[in-house]
Amino acid sequence: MRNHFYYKIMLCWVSALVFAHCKTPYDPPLKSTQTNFLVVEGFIDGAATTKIKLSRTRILYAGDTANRHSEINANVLIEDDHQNIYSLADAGDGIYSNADTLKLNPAYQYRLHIFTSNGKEYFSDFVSYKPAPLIDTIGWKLKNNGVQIYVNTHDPNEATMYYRWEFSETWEFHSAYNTSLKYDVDNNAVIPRNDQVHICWRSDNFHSVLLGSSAKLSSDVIDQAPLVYIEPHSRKLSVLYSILVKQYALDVNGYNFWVAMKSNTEQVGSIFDPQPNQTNGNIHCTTDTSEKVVGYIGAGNTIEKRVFINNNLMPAGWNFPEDCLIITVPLNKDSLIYYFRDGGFSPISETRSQTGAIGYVSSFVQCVDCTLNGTNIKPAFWP
Amino acid sequence: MLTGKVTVEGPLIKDKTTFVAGVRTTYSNWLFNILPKEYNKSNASFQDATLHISHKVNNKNNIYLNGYISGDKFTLNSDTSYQYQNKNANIKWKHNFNNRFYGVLTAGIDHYDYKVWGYGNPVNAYRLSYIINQYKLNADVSYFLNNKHKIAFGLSSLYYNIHSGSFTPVGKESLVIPDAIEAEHAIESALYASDQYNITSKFSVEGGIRFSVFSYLGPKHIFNYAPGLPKQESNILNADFYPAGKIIKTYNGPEYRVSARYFLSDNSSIKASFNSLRQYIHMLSNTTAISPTDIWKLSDPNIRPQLGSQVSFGLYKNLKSNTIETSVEVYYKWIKNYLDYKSGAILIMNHHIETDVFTTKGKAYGVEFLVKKATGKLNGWITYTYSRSLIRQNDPLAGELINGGNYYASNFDQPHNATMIGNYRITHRYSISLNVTYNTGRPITLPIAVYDYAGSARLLYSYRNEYRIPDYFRTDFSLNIDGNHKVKQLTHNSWTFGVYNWTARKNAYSVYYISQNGFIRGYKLSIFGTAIPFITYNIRF
Repeated sequence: MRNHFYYKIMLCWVSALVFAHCKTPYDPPLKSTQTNFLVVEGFIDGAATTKIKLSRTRILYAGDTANRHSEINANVLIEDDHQNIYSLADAGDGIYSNADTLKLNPAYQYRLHIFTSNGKEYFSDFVSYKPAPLIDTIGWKLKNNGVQIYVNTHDPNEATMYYRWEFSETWEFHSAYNTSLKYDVDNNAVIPRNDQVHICWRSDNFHSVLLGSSAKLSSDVIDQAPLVYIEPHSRKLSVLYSILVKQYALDVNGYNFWVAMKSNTEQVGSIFDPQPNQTNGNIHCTTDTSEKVVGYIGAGNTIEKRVFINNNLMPAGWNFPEDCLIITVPLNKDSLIYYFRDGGFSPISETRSQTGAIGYVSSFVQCVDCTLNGTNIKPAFWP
Repeated sequence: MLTGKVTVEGPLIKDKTTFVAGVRTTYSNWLFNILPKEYNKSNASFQDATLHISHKVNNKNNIYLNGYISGDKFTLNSDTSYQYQNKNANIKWKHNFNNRFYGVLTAGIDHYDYKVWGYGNPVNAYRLSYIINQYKLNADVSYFLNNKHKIAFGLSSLYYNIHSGSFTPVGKESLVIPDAIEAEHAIESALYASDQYNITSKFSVEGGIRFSVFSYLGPKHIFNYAPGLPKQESNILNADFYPAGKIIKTYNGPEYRVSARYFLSDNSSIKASFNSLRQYIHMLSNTTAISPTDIWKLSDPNIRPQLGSQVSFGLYKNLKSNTIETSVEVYYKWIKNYLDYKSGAILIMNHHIETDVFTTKGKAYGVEFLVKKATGKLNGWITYTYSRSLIRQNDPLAGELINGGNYYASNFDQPHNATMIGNYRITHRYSISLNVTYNTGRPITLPIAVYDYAGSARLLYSYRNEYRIPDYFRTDFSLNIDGNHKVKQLTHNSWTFGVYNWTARKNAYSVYYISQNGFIRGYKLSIFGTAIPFITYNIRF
């Protein structure tokens, strides 16, 4: 300090030659009771087969590879509030169902009653029987050059309000070439085939949760609720496509359960992923009231509707030509091995001279044999 | 890691203007570059700068200028970078009307932003940015009416401008569709008055009232929800557009403050107080990601202001002729309209966040003990606080009950918190310091199991905030050596040798889960998760 002037300068150096952060695998000490909870999935159906699936939650770690931990040897009953009891048969693999449609009284309330093989007892809450109204139409419209399929429905009694849909898709598709020949790998020879592999069908079940609500509207109408979008040029619509839609009516608790389930995905960890999800259901363990149980059981009847959409309704150029090279494979042992056994080609037809077959017009196996991508057994409902 | 710090202070104009300026920075980027390859995608840096200038215009007028800038950026051996920035500036003009009456006029700007870059896949490369700006103008007046009354009153105005998210593509290959959340604007104005009344030399009371008016302003689209139904996306009826400056919704109300202090003796006193709170800005934390990300939301037609009231009581006693201070304080607080997220909520880039949150009722209480020895060869303090912060959502109309409608720990619930700071001067040149910190880990909701439902794998979570990240514990130790104490030298030098996080505990900065190849894996991230020796060399001119 000199007179009244002063300047104070501080310099500071901190040094450390060590690494400053680390990320380590972490398995938090979970309460031991918090694994292996019962999962109940299904619907008490008064118009079709009632099917209840029982499984168990699995721990997250330790290289879990099982797809399902089915809950077997349980006793599953449906009870109403008038002392009627219906027992479901054990169909194996954690599935409990009845072959015949249950004769349920729509004025009664229903619940599920489960005894598991470990001696625990579970009940779902009593729910009212909610019949699903008829599906008015399953329609489609072109959207971004693809096809958006939607459902319209309404309840003239204004009593449904909350809807859920499931669907399964089936489509017919054709291989680019039709053949009556096949390669016999055991004898290294081309022989006639007696099955057709030109026309096939394929089915997919769609696993997204589809919900609709008319709660905010003055009448109970669902207008063009989107079901599935088919990409432009998709092979699903290359010949004939069919969708079977199943409509459920939900009560408000069931709707909220499904809204929460819809946002429950396996995606975690990025800042964009959803926050933790408590999917509260309506099933309780009476043996141990603190035990978590996953699932919501509603009751009512479901409505199904199937529609077909033909390729001839699609805009021109829907079907892209397939990339199918045509070659002629000479009839000699080395060529047959080279092209048919190892080369991914399939014979389509013979090329002949006066002496007989001298080779085979061939193409890639996927251009010839549609059973690579589907089945050649026509579904019973197919026209 | 290398840290540099420079502080300069001194007069600019003799007897009129003084300044203090400081800069701190880290050089860890350099270190990450020489580390083994597995760390070469990691980097972290921190800088800040402060400036204070005070200027005496004349005997009646003083002007103060304060500025602060800080920024930190880190990439943690992953493909995501985080950057946080703070900037504040304010200017104060203090005018003494007479020796019993003065006023302060303050104008200031606060800016906070964070940015997140995702580089994982060039096709999805994005930048997310979030910005909060606040502009404030305050006029405060203090008036010493007589030796019994000190009166204060004033008015304040605060303008909020929040850009709650903009999401943009990065690089030529990115197919990210740009999106931006509509900015929020609001103005909060308040008038306040208070009186501190010394009834006797032993007994004083203070009372105050503040009345605030908050207006949520356009330009903004506001969604309307069907009356009587939960605020869900499916219940959106339509949206109204309000042009710039148009008042969309106004909330107003008073806040009260009363306290009383009584001196039991020369060295002990008790204090009791009550105050109420109104808050128009809400914070939501996403604590499930590697770096906790916060979202702020202003009250709007769909989200009401947070209200609270608090009572507290304190007992203060000095021992050994005032060399040791001790105190015990207890408080209890009631909170209304505290926001928490719904199950499965999306907090980032949500155009209608009201559908993903609900309001809760809360309570918070605690007791805090302090023992402090300010002087002597051995000095320092010890504090211990036990506190809880609990909230509940038990309104079935809000869509869902959380934890069965029971109270649960809020994100800020950390029951135990203890700190010890001790300094011991061995000789004039040597002294040692020990610093110990402990607190309970913050609550977290963990995925505990996986199951199949409706054809897909789903996660089962624990109850909301049922678990906690590991407790935080850190011990720092240092030895200070002063240079010689000759008066006639240009500089005074000192050395500090120490160890940060002496016990090398890997304290958790975050615990998070990520989906990897179809499995869910838990990770703990520690920052400074080892003992870090440091050397400081101080030069004073």
